[in-house]
Amino acid sequence: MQYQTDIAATGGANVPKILRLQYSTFYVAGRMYGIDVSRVQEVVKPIPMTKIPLAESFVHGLINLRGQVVTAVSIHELFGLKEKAKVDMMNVICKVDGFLVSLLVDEIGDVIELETKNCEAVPNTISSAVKQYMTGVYKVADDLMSVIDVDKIFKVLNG
Amino acid sequence: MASIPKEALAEYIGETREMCQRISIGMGLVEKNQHDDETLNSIYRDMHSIKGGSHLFGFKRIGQLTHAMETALDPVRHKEILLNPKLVDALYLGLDAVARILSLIEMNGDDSQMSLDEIGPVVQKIADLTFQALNSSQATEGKNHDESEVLTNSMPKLDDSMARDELENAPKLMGSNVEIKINETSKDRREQVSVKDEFNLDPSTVRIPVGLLDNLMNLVGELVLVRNQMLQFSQIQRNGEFLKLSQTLSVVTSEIQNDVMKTRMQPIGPFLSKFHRLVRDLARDLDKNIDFRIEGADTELDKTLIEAVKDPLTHLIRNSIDHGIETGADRQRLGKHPVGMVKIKSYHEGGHVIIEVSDDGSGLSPVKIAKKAVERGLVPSEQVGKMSANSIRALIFLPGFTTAESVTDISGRGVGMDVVKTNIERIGGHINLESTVGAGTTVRMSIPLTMAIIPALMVSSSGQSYAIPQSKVIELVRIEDSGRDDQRIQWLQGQAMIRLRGKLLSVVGLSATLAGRPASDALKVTRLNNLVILRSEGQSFALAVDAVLDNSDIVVKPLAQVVKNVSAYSGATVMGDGSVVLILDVDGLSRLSLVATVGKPSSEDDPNPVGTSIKPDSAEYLLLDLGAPGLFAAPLCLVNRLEVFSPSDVQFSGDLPVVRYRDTLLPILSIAERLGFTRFSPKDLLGSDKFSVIVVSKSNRLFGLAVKKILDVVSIDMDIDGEISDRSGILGSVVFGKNVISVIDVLGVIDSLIHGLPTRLVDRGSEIAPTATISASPSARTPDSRTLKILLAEDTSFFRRYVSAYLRSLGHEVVAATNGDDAFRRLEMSHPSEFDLVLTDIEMPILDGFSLMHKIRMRPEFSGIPVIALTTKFHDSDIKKGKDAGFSAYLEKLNAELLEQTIKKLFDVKQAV
Repeated sequence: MQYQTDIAATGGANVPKILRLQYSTFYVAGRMYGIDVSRVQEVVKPIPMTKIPLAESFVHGLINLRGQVVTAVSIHELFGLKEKAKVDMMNVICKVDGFLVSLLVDEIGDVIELETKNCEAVPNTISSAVKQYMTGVYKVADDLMSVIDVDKIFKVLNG
Repeated sequence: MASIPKEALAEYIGETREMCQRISIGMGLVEKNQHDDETLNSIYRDMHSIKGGSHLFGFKRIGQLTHAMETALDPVRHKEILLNPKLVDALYLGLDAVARILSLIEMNGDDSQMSLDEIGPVVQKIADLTFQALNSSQATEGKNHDESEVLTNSMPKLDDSMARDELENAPKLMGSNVEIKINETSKDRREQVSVKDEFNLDPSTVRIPVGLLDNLMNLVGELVLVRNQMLQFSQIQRNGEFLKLSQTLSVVTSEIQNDVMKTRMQPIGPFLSKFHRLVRDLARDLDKNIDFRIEGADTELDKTLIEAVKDPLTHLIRNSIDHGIETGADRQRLGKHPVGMVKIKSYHEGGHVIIEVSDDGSGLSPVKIAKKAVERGLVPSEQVGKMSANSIRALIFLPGFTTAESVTDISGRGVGMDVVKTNIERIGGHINLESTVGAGTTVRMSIPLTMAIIPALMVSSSGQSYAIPQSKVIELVRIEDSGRDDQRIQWLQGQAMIRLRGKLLSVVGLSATLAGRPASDALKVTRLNNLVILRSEGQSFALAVDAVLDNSDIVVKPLAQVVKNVSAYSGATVMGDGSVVLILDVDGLSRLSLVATVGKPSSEDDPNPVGTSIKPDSAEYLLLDLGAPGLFAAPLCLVNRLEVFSPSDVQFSGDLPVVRYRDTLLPILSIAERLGFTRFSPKDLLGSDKFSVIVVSKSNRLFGLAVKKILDVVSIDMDIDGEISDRSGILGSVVFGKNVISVIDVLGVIDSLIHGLPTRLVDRGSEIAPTATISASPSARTPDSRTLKILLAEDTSFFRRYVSAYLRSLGHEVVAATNGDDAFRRLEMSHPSEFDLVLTDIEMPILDGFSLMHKIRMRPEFSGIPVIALTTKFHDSDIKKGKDAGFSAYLEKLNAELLEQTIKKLFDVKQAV
């Protein structure tokens, strides 16, 4: 998905020179994740949340983003991470088809630019709970960054 | 065509013109960019719409033209050829002709002045041009040629003789600005079309894209929110100037909101008028005579909502005509007017627009529906037997239900009332149905005025606020945990219930339901006060909330599907303070808590009065703490009200403590004192903070019985044992759990006050001051009175049990009936001499005591049976009325000794005669 987006962005030429993509990075339970920066609308500090009783555990609640209602998704719950989520989580607000979703993460990282040719396939050993949302892995400095496909998360939300 | 209403026609003309203009613009675009499939499809759709609309109104000529145009466009749409100038010419020809006919229609109300001779060449020309266009295209397959032949053949054939006829009558269109020569170039024509459109537009109206209005509506929603936030803020600020400004802003905002809402409002009339044609055609196809009426054509409704009710309404009208209205012959046989009536009525009611579709046809037979529903496996057959006629009728809204015995072309094609219902509910409305077999059916759709901003009730549960759409709220009820039986939670099969004005409603705890626990959970422990009575899918239920906050106009925001799946929420909204609040989906909640399976339909005409069908056959007692040893109870059926007074309310009238109560003086009696527990006089009570009083009505007066504490209301399924009673003033004892409860003779206690007599009597059989009028003269007791067979009619189970038990203890045989009708049936089934005596209550459901008396006296074979009235209705006029009706005696309920004496006297006299 990101790959295609990228081709379009660089003019749709058949033989791209070097493909570079910017990723907005964040950390959940000490792990590094990245989302195509063009999919992120903004990052918001912890704001009051309205709980949704009976909803799936990963649907953490609703927040008011300047008059718009945004569904907040707990990455901890969605990925089935054992570590306990903090009380105040940062919101990574993404927009797809006019619909807003907030990914609740522990910490926001930098925006980094990476060459797509360095993207590696998701290893088979990754648990399927996380793997289904991953499109690839990058080696970054001394860490590994999992690329998250926002569209897949949307699909779960609006399936 | 003279019968087409003007406004419908005007709308049709306006719409068609708009579509023509769009087609003309679209063709220009496609000519420039041949691959613009989107526009091409839009052109095709518009043509199709014009064709459909014209056929609906019976304008054949426009229909023929657009059909020809559609055919011309077909090969382009199927990518066989490109849109070439010849085709464009052909299409413009058609558009021009359509425009001319429209002008004629506008002037004359019909299209008959446009002769077919004029149309014929145009249609032919379009066909020719299409043919040429096909041939001149690069496609070389022979198939193309065949197709063009088919094309030409498929063009409408014109009836020459008919055309000539009309030509004779048609005045020539002279010097009209709408006249356009066929050979003009397409460019000129295009201009002419648009000029003409402008020319015909009403200068006082502007066509605005609905999308723009939607956007405005959303913005106004946001504006309202900001206004609310600002008002809240201004109140904290305590700045007069700022407060004034924000209030002005508030007023202006409200006005903007109202006006923007109005921009989307349209009278429903023109839309409803479209159904004239549908009805006429259906009636003709089905050979039925139908009078179609429209009422309330000027009712205004949001445009998007008008669109949304179109399909449901079409379906309902089809249903009415196809299944509802009988054929003329059948109607005559049934003695009905041969012309059937189908009516659409629309009006405003409580912030909703109601659209009713009614017919005077055969109605919906509950028997047939039940049978079909069982056949289809929609409900188990054993359940059907327990359902009321209205709940059975509601089954037609279930998916997979079709009433038609045979599936016809008109309706009943698998899509049924369930679709209608879903469509209506999707726009926040609800639908219900009333039907009388043989007299007709009325389907009532209740639709919100607008979907954008809705009034809502804010409630809180477990520390979080929720919004409930006001359209679902029937009323708010506040209940005390220790109240009368109609004011407290009762338990039925583990399900919490409340009795509200005779109706039994399930109580659903919001907190419990949202926590995924059974709906009745937690009601046991929380002291629950606030109930919101909600309307849901034909059922009502009570939602127990922690607090009712206030009313608020809210803007509905959509939820992610994964949240919608919970089915408890229909949306979310942002409140004035910026918090996000979930909007409860009442129907979803009701389903979540499974109210539907336990609750009762809330229909008004439920044939079973609650007292007979639901109330378990046990008596209810008010459990009291008198301050004396042991537990005491008063039969709940005797209790009028429960009050709490403080000592300062009490005044003394002589020795008698009284309380000013509802324009009268309420004498206060201490039950404990009356029962002989002397240490507990009213004066002792006054020392305490507040005391509870049971208000009892006797002989049309109110008396207050002071007790230390009202503990509970209990339901006891057991007869009173009159033997276990150590003092008078006590009727007897009942066993409740491990406890023995003494039942207080409430009326006896009051008697003792009235007559200034202590109830402490040594001999219970001794004379009590007669409060009853007895028609038989007193005589001495006969110790060996014979065994009588007594028919007892009494609706209150406590009295029924108590009196039966007492009479049996005297050795009599008792047959108990639950009301006058039941009693009379038992009497009718019996041998005329089987019963010796009838005892009846006066106030009973179905058939009261007086009517029972009347019925008995009408039958000579029962004339010998004495009838005694047992009642709490004890006014002089009642007694007189009772005597006039022919009762042998008129006795007060629960005065067992008097009853015994009266019976003895009656039969002693009889034996003596």
